[in-house]
Amino acid sequence: MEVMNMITMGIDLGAKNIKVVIMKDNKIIGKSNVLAGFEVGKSAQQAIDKALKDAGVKKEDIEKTISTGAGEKLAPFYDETKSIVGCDSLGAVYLHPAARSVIDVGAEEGRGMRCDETGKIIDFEVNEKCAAGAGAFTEAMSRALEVPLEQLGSCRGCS
Amino acid sequence: MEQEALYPTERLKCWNKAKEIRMKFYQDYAEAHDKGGLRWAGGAWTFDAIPAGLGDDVYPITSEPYSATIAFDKELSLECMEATEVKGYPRDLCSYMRNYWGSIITDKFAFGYKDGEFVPRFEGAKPIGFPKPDFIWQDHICCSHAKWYQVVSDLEGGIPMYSVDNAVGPANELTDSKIKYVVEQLKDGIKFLEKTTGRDYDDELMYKAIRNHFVSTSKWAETCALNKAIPAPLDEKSIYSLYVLGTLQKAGKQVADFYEKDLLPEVQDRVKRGIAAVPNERVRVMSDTQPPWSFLSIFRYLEKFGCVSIGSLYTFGLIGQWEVKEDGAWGAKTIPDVEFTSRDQALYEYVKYELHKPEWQHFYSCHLKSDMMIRIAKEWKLNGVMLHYNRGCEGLTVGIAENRLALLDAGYPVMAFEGNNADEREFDEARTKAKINAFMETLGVK
Repeated sequence: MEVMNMITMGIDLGAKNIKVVIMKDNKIIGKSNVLAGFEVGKSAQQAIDKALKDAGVKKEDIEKTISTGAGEKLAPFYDETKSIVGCDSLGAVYLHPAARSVIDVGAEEGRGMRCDETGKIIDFEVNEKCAAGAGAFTEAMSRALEVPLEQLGSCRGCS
Repeated sequence: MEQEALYPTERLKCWNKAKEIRMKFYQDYAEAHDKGGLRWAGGAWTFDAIPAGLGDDVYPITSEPYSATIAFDKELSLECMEATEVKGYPRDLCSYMRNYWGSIITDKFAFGYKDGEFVPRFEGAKPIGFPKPDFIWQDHICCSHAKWYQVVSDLEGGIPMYSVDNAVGPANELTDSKIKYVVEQLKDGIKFLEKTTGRDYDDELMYKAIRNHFVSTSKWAETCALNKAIPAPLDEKSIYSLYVLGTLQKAGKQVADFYEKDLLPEVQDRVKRGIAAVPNERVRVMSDTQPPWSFLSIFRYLEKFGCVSIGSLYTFGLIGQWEVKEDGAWGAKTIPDVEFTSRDQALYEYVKYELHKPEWQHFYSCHLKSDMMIRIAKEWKLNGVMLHYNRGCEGLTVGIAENRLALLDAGYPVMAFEGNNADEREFDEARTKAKINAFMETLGVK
């Protein structure tokens, strides 16, 4: 999706991390990733400040802000909210134009999507109960087993 | 996202009458003994025209809608659930059944009196105990049905019980011997009723009740078929309050008359005048299985996006009887044009008709259900489908993931959400609304 001559910001207030991306002329010019912590609003502001600094722009330069994630309504400011699966698929197609299937292992939710070439969702599934298989559990197991997260998958069948 | 109205809307004129019929049903049951009458308990699917032959003062309570009423009363439902769990029954059993058992165990009826008026407990009624039925008249097709009342009988100290096995296979494989297998059970059941109550059985009353049954089930289907119109004259949240009358007493004259003389003409008029249930209707979906009764607000949430849920196989086919018409489309089943001349013949016609119930077919194959759902999606012009992965009803949820795949293959976007029809502890409102948000984006209305 082309958004020319426009600086936009996306905020993802996830259960564990807050991610911010700033784009100009459809290119990423700044980003940040901070722990959500206990004071989500404060952490979100930190993430925004870091991304603005990374992009070298001011808040006033941002023409539109979209908020998403479990805490989307806790963002310090936003123009619209958009579902996390919708953002996932748009982001995946932006980064990998050939992507049509997207898997997002969030801290408390696992999401699977099928999308078209524009990133529009065709079908999606989200686990509804935070349980084994979600990201927080996987990270906890990585620490407990002292196996780097990246190698955890290859441990299957090794016990 | 509030959207501007595209169509006129207005309240249903027969709404209050529907509510009065429902309240009178429960009041009649509660007060039956005061008038020298009898009470009986059984499922919403049972052959309820049969006990009608015992007299006009024999009042039923049907388990599923009663349990849904409890589910809507969150405080009472939690008491019932916990009382059932204390007795050792697990949480993964039918949640209707657990509410019902809990109502007996705690001896709390969901209705009572407030200033002399019979009202639901959650409206401030002084609680009364669960009115004990005189006998149980049940059928058995889902995995819980007969067991449900075996426990009820035990909890109440041994109530006489009769259960009809009607799991004879799908309607498209119906044979004369299968119909007679059920008919013979009903004939034995009539003997059971006579022996249990000490009353003589009146076939003429049964004939009238069967006629009422034909009218209720056919006219309800005819009403649901009117929802093919754009805009839809009825939304599913309202449909829940209307279909329930058929689950209470489909063989009752008051229900047959309401469907035929009040609801159907009014909905026909709404279609004629273009009256919408949701004035900003832009997209149409259907749901599946029972809803999470304590969270019906999700259906109002859909309306914010201009999305109307036009019903479901559940609301259309739990009570409604359907047939394929000459043009190939689904329409109301034709009421049999026969005079009843004998008990055997009347029962045969009754059973032959009833074994076509759509909601019974998918107990035999999820593919039969998929076919019916795809038919609804096409004929009711749907944009998508919302499937309730209902942990509270194994019977209606079995095979639902297969239904999802079939609907996707047929080209319909599907949103699945997890929940429980009667155990609110297993429904996450915030997450479900988040899913709805994503689904509305998919449908292009958010």
